[in-house]
Amino acid sequence: MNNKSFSWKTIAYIFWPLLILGGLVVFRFTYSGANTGEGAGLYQVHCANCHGNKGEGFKQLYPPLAGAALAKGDPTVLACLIKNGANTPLSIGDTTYTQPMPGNPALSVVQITAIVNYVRGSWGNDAPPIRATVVENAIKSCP
Amino acid sequence: MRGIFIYLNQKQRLLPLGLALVFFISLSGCKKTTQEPEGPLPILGAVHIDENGDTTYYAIPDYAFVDQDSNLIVPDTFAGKIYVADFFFTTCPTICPIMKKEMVRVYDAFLDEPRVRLLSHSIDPAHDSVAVLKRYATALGIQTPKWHMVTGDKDEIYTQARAYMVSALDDPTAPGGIVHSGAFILIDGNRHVRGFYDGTKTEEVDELMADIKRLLDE
Repeated sequence: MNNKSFSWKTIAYIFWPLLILGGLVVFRFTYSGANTGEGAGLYQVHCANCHGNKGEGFKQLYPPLAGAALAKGDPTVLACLIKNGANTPLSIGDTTYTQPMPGNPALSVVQITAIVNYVRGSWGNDAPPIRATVVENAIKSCP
Repeated sequence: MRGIFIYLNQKQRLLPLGLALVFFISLSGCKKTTQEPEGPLPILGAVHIDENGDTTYYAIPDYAFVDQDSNLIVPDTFAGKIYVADFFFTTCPTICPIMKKEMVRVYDAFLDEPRVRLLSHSIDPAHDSVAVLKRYATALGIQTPKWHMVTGDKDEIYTQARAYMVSALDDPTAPGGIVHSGAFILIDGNRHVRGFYDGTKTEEVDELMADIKRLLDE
């Protein structure tokens, strides 16, 4: 009797720490170093394949976003690029990028705002976040 | 540590040890055991054995496409060489950029090995003209003789994709309008298929590069 109740206690002693430990391990592997904000997730899905996980770009095919004036500058230009893509050559420094960029017509104003703010505030870019109304107005009058 | 242990009985003292053991066992389960492969790479695809007992392996059928410098690319282009084939299109926003980043790693690794070539087929030839492929190749900074990017008749390219045992299908709902496999296929000097690799996965492309070295030694 005494023995039995003790074994239940032992199981409880093992069960709870294991559950907590397991939870921590799962948490560690799911969220390791990742920015869990909406902008980061949308960037991963819609932008990172070409522009890279750290906005580094690739060769002369895809322009970098880290440190790029276009990424940090006028947010309305960036919002229109994300929405409608680009079909004209883009020059950054001595490099001209001629690969067309596909648009993302299905993204909402809020989603575009999240991406714009993520790009403006990541990888050393230090531009302040903007409001969704800025994007809303911008995409009404894209070039 | 000892200070805490004083308050625990003997069984309870074993608890942290048991927990540590469980933790490390669970970690070791994630480790991939790798075995160094030996001998020649297998030849993949259907095998035909005739009445005399002679074995014929599946071989890539004839083809004729045009590359970024308007060269005609036929099987003889790769005579006595091995090559890696893939299927992509220049405006694909999904897996192609990752595939091309991985293919550039293969390109860089075997830049000075003249027996290794790369062959990328555009599955959107209506858009990917010779001029578009040239612009794309220039932006990638690649040399044509090493890495041919080809265009041609769409049906022929789709048929050729199936000949490499990979898929390419029109799908208006997919980003870019085409769904296709991200496979890299390793072909030897006899047009035999020697390996398939997921061109979007760094580990598999590492495996491809190891297999290219094995094939070069055969």
